[in-house]
Amino acid sequence: MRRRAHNLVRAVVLGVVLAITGLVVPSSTIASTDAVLVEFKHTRGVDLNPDLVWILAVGSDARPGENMLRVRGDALQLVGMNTKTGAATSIGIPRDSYVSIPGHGSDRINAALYYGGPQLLGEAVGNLIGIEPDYVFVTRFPFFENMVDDIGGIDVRNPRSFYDPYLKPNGFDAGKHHLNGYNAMAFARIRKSLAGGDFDRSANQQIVLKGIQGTIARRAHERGFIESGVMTVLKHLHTSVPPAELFRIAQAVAQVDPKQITGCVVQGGFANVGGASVVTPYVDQARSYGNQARNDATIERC
Amino acid sequence: MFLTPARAVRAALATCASLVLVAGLGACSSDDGSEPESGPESAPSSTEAAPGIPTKSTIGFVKGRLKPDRRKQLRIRVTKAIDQWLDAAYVAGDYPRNDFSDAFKPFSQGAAALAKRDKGLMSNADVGDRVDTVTAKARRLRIDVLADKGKAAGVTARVVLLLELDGEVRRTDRIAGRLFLGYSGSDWQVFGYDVKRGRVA
Repeated sequence: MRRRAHNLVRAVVLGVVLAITGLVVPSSTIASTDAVLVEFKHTRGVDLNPDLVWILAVGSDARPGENMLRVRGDALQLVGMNTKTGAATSIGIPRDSYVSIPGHGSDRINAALYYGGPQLLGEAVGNLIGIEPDYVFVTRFPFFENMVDDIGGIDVRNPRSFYDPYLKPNGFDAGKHHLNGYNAMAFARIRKSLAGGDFDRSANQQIVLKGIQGTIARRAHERGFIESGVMTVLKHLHTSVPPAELFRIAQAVAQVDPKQITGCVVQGGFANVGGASVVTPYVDQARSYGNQARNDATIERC
Repeated sequence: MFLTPARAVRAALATCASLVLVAGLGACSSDDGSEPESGPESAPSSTEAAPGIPTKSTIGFVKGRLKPDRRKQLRIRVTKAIDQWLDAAYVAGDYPRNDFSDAFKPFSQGAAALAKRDKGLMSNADVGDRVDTVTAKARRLRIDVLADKGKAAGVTARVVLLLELDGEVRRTDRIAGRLFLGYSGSDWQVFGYDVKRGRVA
């Protein structure tokens, strides 16, 4: 709250300074030409090696004290970024998708995390989509909430109204919303009142991811925003990846062009395996998404 | 949160190996992409050698611990890299000129390829042959730092260059934006940018 007020004050002061500069400084001085822009061009880009980076984002519902690398992932999104073009795409995978898990027969895909940690989950997703992730991020929902709060919330456009009697009794109306950390978590987790069940939930997770990217891109120009964000992640991250690498990834995320973000959810049928309800994913469709996105992180159509 | 580092580790090993081979180094001084503990303290500030007015550079926002002497060293080395770009791309050289092949030397290979795609903005390539003189009226650099364990791990360099062009093309341009730098194993290198160029007069 204090930071928000500080930012507001700073913005107002800056606005006043700019207004005074523009009005008072004579046009023949360097100072005035420094402040008045007639024509503007803009370019940006980030070099990551490789140009295309694939990140498997996993939301874990691990309870406090549980090892989040040995529970079932609750949200699965394979996110691709093309740092050459600024395009990004997300392929949503229903958590109950019944697939082959290397070395463990067939099971729900989210069980791969339980059986073999992020590496095995990445392999299972790779087998389904045809693209193996370069990184696997696993996060607990409380940290996810904190992270969204830390960046100042996110803006989303909700295509359908939905609710949950426990997580969000008043629900989310269709339309635009600014979500804080808790509401972003609820938006991404609610399933029961959605007509499309887990498929719609996965689509909602993509809306949340797009909202996070939107906030990061909008605020990346603020002094210290990316540096502070990386430091926050480092404090909550269990990883051997160097901070310098995270800094590069964060800058790449900030440079994604929101207009070039696409996303699809792997659809499927329903089946009963050993008394448990599972989703039988349309593998051809999953492979089609992978094939479309593999070279440029773009999916033309779902 | 957890992150599988297979590719990063491979990249680090490859970088280390190629450094040993190419530069004849005995060992990689830093395996985490951050600046090594003991860099060349004597790295000259390019502001001394830059033509025209010098770049006024400052350390801005620092997230993490970084001792004053390391801040100073970082400022000198980042300023050197940015000056190398500003001079080769805009300020230095005999105008009229149409050779800007050295403009992106302090850029990584991929970033240089991206910048060449935008060479009209990231250099004077589009107007160089119609300009007789180029005068820098302002050169400012503010360096924001991500530091981890006392070492700089990433840098955002905020640049403002006010450029007076004279000749067939006669105008004043303002080039401003952010450049993202990482430590390449021997020096600070630009791996990304978000830059605007505007005609102000």
